[in-house]
Amino acid sequence: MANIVRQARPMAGAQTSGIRELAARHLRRWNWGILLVVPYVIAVSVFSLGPALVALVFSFSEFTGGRPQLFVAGLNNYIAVFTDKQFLSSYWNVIRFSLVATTSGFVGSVGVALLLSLTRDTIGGIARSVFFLPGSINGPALALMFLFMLDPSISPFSRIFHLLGWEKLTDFVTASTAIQVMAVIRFYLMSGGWIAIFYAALESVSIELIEAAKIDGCGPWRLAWDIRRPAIMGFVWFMVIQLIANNLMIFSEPYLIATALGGASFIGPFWSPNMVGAYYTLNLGDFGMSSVVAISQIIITFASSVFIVTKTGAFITEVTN
Amino acid sequence: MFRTGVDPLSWLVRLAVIVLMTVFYIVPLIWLVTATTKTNPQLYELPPLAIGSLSYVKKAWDYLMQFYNGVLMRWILNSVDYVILGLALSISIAVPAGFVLAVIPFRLRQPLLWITLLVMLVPGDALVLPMYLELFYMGLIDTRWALILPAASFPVGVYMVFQYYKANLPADIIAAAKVDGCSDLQMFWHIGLPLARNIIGVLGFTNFAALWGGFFAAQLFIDNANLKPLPAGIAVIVSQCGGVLPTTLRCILNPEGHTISRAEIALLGVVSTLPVLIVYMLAQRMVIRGATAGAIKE
Repeated sequence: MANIVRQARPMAGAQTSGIRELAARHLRRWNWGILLVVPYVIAVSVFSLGPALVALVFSFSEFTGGRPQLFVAGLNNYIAVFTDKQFLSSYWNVIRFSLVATTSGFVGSVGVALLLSLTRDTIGGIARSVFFLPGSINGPALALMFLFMLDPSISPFSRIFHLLGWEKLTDFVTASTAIQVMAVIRFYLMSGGWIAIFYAALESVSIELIEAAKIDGCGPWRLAWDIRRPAIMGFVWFMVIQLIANNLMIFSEPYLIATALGGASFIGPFWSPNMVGAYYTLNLGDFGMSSVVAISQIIITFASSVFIVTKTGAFITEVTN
Repeated sequence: MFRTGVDPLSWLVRLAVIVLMTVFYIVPLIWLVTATTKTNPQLYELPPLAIGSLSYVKKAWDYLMQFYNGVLMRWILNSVDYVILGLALSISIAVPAGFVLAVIPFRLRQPLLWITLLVMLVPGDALVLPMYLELFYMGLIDTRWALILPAASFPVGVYMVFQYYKANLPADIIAAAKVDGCSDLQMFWHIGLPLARNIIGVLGFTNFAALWGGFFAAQLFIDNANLKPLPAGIAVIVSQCGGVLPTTLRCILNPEGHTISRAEIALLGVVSTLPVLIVYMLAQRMVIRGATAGAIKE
């Protein structure tokens, strides 16, 4: 018996050291480099994907006493939000705003960029640098600056306003012109940067191609439209879809204007879906309804992301090694 | 044809458009700066772009400092704090992640790239409402971490780094390093990180404007006046003191009856815009690269 035990002990020891060696070999082979990406995976899960999941779950939940009762609400939150006239009119506002702002942004940015690229000179280079600067102004400062720009009593453009018969801010900045006013503000913020970006892209079209086109008799306008413009069209689609998505999410400028002008404001406190969502969250404490607003926006922006990535060809989508 | 290669009419049209656009973009900025040098009456009396007196800038600043015992300085320091920490967090996570996506094969690399692409194109404001709900139940609302921690998710930066390494780190170098017995971590430390100096600058400049100027999240996540960053602080001043319309001056700051008026609001705009304006002027090419997130394939 003792011999059997003595013989069994070396075998057990051999098995244990074999397992240890296997584990050590596995650890040596394991791709420790993956640890470098773990913080990012955690961050994007918690702060990008997590909020979307939270919104989805909460949109079907009830909140009594601040505690969520998950999936208890069924579709009640969706019914409450989609029958809320303020929510519906906020979407109507931003859809119209987005149409005007995106169209003007697209036409303005592409048109001016093509015009700049007609010829290469110092003026074009300086213009590109100058056009880029307005993008540096953040939402609150931009909204305030424009309220001053649109006031005929102090604006540097007051002579033009007086010629048009506008003597004070509220002569032409009203609820019925809110869309156009917000579109001008957005155009100011976004178009200069896009012009600079398109101009840079247009300048990167190969010299040989341009020279060949010139030899074939292309004038500067034909060159701009038929040779340079196609070079940026994939990227233009990226801009258009990004503009639409960003314009639908607008919050800072209308919120600041509504706050700054108070009762005289041409922008109401529920002008955009995000303003309505903020009201549901902070004033009503209704996280369920706020989640529905968030879900509506996530669906739109996610669909636009899928379109940009799969259809525009502007991004590398394959890891090749 | 001119030396420029365009006919005179085209050249004139181009010049006219450039002049009009320059006036449209720059005149408001000039007005904002010169408004800080004028008193409120001078905004009406002097020509719009005239410069008043530099001493009025100091006066306007002193009046703003009288608002709630200088809380404006607290807001500026908060913005600096959140931006520095947010940048450090976002860049320190994005650079290694982009390196791994570009260089190190592992099973979930393709799905992770897709998730990065899709998430980076979703505007940040679309996630603010649900992020509030998440941070609320994490107990982070009304703390500085509500504005700092979300910066850790920087998919635009990860994609830019991924593209940068794909373009600038030849596969031969990686293969040679592996032959020499380099582990993935050693490859990142000795090869990836030194090469990352250029892209770190681009990431920093790209993210700086978003972090400095972020308003929606700050407005929603922070209620404590002492924790607000500058953009949210501007909203506080405007909502409490008016100052945009001459009929809405509400804050009496001192026994002399001075209120926060348009000149002070203009100075707020300049203070809040200046850091990003300087960055844009110094690093325009980097910011353009960042704005496209490499969407112009090289």
